[in-house]
Amino acid sequence: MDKVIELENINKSFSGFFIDNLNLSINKGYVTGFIGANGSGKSTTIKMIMNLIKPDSGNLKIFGLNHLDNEKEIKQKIGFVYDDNIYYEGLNMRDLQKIVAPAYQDWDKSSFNHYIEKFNLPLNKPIKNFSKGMRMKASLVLALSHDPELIIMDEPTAGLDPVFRKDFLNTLQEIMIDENKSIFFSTHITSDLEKIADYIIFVRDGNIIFNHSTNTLQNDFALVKGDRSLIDRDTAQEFEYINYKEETFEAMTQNPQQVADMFGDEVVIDKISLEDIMYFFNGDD
Amino acid sequence: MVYLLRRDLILQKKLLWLYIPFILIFVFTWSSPFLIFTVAALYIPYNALAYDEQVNSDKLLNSLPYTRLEITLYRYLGTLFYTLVSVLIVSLILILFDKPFTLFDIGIGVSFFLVIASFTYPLFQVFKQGNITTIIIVAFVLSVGLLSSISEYISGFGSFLSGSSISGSILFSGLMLSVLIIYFLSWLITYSIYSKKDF
Repeated sequence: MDKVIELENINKSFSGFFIDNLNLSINKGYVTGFIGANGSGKSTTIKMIMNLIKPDSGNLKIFGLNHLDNEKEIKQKIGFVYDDNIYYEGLNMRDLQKIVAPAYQDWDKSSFNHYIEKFNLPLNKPIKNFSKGMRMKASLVLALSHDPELIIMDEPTAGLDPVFRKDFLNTLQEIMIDENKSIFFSTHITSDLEKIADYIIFVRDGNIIFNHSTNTLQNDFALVKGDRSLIDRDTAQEFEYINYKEETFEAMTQNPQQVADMFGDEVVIDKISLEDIMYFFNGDD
Repeated sequence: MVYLLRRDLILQKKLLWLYIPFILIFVFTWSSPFLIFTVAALYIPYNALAYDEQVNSDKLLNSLPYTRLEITLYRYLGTLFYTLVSVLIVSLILILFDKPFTLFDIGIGVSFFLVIASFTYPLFQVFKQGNITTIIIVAFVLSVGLLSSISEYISGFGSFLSGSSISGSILFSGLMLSVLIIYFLSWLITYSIYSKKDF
């Protein structure tokens, strides 16, 4: 499978936080969600991909090209959305287009107008008067109007109300009809990932804990509940993480079939939500 | 690169209406023309810096298909371009209002501005966002104060040059060349800081 982003042995240290030997690959043509708690390294990783932060060592390729040697060529094909506002507050969308459009060879004015209409955004109102949702849509308009092959977003849905979020996700789904496009985005909202992500990468303390397809996560992971007395040194081996609650336990397994064979009717095996997977992995300190 | 120049104009389109009145204030309050060339040259590049401070514009510029070399080069070449424009505008205004000035006034005025820019541009890369406006105001007040206090000597020096046997054009060229070398070194420092910066 073609890779759109490849990080090999990336190291980066700040005071109080470091990324140690990060390896990560994002498949071309899919939506990949990037999840992890606050301060886990999501934004740092995204910034390194965008060359906003320089790794101390390691290789970083985008579209199969070295990200430093081919910076301009790569960024011509990337659309970006960040959670903080990076656009001049006093300017309206018409002026912002004049600033952003000339940077791209493939800027399409009709596409810009299409998204402006679709999102119902005013052209002549300064963005400082936009709501959080409108700002995010404005960022998306500016990110999409040069028909990028790769869309990178850092927490795009944070702070958006459910109606805006649904609109936003629908737009991403429409974009993904084109099989050449790839989306990589970080989020806290696991339900967004369950709706649109093909792959999910979970990061904790600068380390990738898993990089799986959504199907794999749904089929291979399960939530098991039962009586605490069932857990001993041997049976505990079947579970990734176990939480004890008085006389019962709740655990995550990557071998639901084996657990079913072992415990039979004595335990309840349920589908596990992404939120629970995150919770269990975060609990492994 | 030209598009980045346009960016400054789009950002400042409201402030640009005040540009001519801003110059006129100095035309009617100060006698030394070289001071007017200096403050007029400051206007657009330093206003652009103040705008950039309001948002994280480095994050935007570095996410667009521009390299860090281009971004810093633009800042320095753009400043030279706007300086040239300011020289033309101030000269036109001074001619219109019948205020005498010489090539020496332009040379000294522009040199002062470029030296101020050479020292402040690398500082903007060192200091954190939020301090830039303060630096701009301090640099402006200090430079105007300094310039007004030495303006009489400068004018005297100009008259001395015109009356002396030393070739004025050689001295003038030497001055401009030195300033441009300082300006180039300033760019090298700014680029070496900027190229390693995390945004």
